[in-house]
Amino acid sequence: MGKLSVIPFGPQHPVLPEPIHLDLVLEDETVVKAIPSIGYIHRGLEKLVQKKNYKEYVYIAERICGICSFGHGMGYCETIENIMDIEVPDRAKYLRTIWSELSRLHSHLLWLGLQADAFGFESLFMQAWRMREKILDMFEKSTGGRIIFSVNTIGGVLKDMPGDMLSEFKDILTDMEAEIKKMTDTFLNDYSVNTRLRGVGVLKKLDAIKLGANGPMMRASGVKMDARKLGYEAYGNVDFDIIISEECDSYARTEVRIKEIFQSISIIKQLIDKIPEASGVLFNPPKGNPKGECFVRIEQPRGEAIYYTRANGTQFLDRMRVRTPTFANLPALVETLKGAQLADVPILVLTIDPCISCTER
Amino acid sequence: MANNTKDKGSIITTISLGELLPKVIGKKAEMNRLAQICAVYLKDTDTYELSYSFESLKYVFETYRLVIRSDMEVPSITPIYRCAFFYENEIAELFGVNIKRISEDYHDNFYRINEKTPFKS
Repeated sequence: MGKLSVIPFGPQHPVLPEPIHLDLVLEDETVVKAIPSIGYIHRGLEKLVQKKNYKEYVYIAERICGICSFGHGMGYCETIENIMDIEVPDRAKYLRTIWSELSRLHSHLLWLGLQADAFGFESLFMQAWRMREKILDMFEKSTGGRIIFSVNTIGGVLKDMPGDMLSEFKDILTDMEAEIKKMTDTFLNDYSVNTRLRGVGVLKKLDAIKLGANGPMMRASGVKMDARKLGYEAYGNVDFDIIISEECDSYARTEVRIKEIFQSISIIKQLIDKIPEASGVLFNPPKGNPKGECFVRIEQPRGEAIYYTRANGTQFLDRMRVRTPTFANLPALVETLKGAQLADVPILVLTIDPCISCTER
Repeated sequence: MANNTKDKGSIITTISLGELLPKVIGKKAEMNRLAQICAVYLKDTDTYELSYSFESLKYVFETYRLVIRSDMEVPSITPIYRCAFFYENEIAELFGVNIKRISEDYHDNFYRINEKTPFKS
């Protein structure tokens, strides 16, 4: 038996975009057990729902996280819309879906850069984030904000994207597609990337289901599930296949996310082609206060997010709960760390695309 | 499942404390994923509403609702779904739900907060 030691990983670490702590029990250089510890950025945002008017809470919900911001606002709005039976105008549904897919694009590009940086591929990190800047510029042009957009409201959206803006975005995405393809081909075919990622952090299909993994983490283990197939917002009107891989390792997770980048571009182009004409109505405002409860599932960039709202007929809600994808993926991460080498720990932590702001709320 | 189905929520079934573990075992046998566990504290009646949600590979989302008094003990489902320890530690620390035999019990140190059971008010 080798020498046992405990190494702390985080909360401050060069590869971690947000603070999480792992106590790694090592036997020589092999991880025997990983004990996660969170709580560095818990802000009690779910408790605020009892103090903020349910209409104002949209602005709190979208501040749960900067990367998944739009999705949180949208998911929360959907729960209230379902409880109050509010019909969102069709154009607003398409706009929400476009912004949602742009969020997925920018999130995956951000992650790709971090993943490259984790094993020293700095030029790829810079290229990925340079691509991401174009998405952020599109957000700024369409919503006024690069990270927090504040365009979701209960009953629809607050801003429109006129036809010329949508055409411009379509052209930008077409140009980006070619550039991203060059970058990702390098990423996937590079010898050092393959060596660092193939066979590392294997999570078998059955384990992914048992451990409650979701999103690309789960799809890279061969589980064919994507909450967008529920058809919420305008997703029912676009054609796309669920991207999976049967390899179950870190390379598979990378590959799935890269393919989802191109899939998002394709979905956005379909939405731009099919979006209904502007009628001047972007949202149907709620009347009165909500009473009831509702679960809503949406597919955030990191996986399936579940929003639960319980309302009591007053302007303040009893409960708003967000089960974020990273919260569900952490047990799977802990499992993949067992048996891994210490040098692979940063890569493995990054392959779940951790968003600790979402996890702790 | 049809592409244009609107997910208006889920099936919510109220169960008793004694039914919790058999129902959860049933869901595990059907290869359902544990989707989430959440708690709501009802101040008027001093009770907790615990919702255990499961999702099948065909997207069917079913929630078991357990209503307990605040002084009651709830068995942990971590022997069945190992990943439940995250959810159970969270509701134990934030709400004060008394869950016995969580496989990895953080003993109220999960979120590193100074206030005890801040969501139970």
